[in-house]
Amino acid sequence: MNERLKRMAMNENGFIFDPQTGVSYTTNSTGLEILKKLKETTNIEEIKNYIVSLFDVSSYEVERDIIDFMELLKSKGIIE
Amino acid sequence: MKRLTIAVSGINIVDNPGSGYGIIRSLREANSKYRCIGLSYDAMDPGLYLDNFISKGYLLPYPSSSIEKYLDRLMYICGKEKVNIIIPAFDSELPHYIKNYNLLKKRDIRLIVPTREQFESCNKANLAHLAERIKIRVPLTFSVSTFEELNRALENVGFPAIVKGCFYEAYRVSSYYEAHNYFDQLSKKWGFPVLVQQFITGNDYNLVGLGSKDGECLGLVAAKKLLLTQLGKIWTAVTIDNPRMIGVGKKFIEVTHFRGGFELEFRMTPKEELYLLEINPRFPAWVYLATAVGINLPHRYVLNLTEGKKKFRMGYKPGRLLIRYTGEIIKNITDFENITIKGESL
Repeated sequence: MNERLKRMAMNENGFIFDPQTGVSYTTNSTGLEILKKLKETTNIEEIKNYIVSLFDVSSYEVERDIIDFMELLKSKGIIE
Repeated sequence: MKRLTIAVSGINIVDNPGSGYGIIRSLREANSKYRCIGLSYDAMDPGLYLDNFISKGYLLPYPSSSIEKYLDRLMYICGKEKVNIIIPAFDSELPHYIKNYNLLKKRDIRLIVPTREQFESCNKANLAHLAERIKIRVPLTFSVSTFEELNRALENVGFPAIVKGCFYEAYRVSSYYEAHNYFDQLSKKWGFPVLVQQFITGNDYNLVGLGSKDGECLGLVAAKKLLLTQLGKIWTAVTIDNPRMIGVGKKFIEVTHFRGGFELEFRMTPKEELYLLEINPRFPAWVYLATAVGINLPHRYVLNLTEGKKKFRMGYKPGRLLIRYTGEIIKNITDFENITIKGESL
């Protein structure tokens, strides 16, 4: 797992703080759940199943959103 | 226990504040019996008017005036107030304290200041040499004294670039025209050389630290600047736990045996490459943030001088915010009159 993601502090309000760089982000509940799952795995299928089990959303939509969100995280250097 | 009287400068609590306020606040929180005297260079320094904050305030002649004049006034204040310890807060006054360290010591006035060599190693023009010794990147920097040298330096670093005064102030420039204007302005204000520095894209970070009277590390705290003033000074900051910055701070003390408070200014690129931008050989204005996370450096300065103490807790919590704000106090014109005429507060 990405070291940066590992060290990030996240709370249930979607506030994310990197204690080493002092950079903070906010995300919604879906983003927060994706980030939490990313701490365990980078397998999109597993993340997708996890999100579908939590929210009332189709598998197709979720997969697209997860990929978009992961691209955003990559652009910010949060994941590799 | 004897009640200590501590004289502190830098009580200019303005938009570009000195560190005196943070130092005195830290001291008073550590020991309410400390008697704090404010040393100022301007009758309008707000710190002179905060009666609940300092026991007494005095005006000093500017450090750029003659050393005899400066020392006469300092000795008068120290004698009258029975000052035990001085904490200088400005780079510009350090040469006087370094030069007269032994004289002050003889009069039982104690302070922790760098040696002349340590002080000069922090000079902006010597940064690259020191950075090599402490193994950290620095932006490409040129010292320039003529327009011809300025143009050559700009060709090397490209645009945008940073044009810096040799003591204070730095401006980002995007054209030769802007660079020439600031070169002119800064050289008139601060003298030569002017520095031209490569612009590094990234976030700004600072580290505050303290070296003991024997050059040992008494504490370090790193912070990310969240909100800056136009001069790039901290208005809001958050403590961070960054092992690389702390490591550079430790190495800086280990290599130089630096004595006294200091601040390292960093920039970190999006790829997390760390650059050292500047070293300030005194406590920064945000020193109270370190106190708020349990690293009270002004108090450690005093304890190191009075008890020789050098073992302190080093760990602290990231995520504590410093938020600066503005405020007003109302005084009588007689308070201003007293400071202007007598050079001291009522």
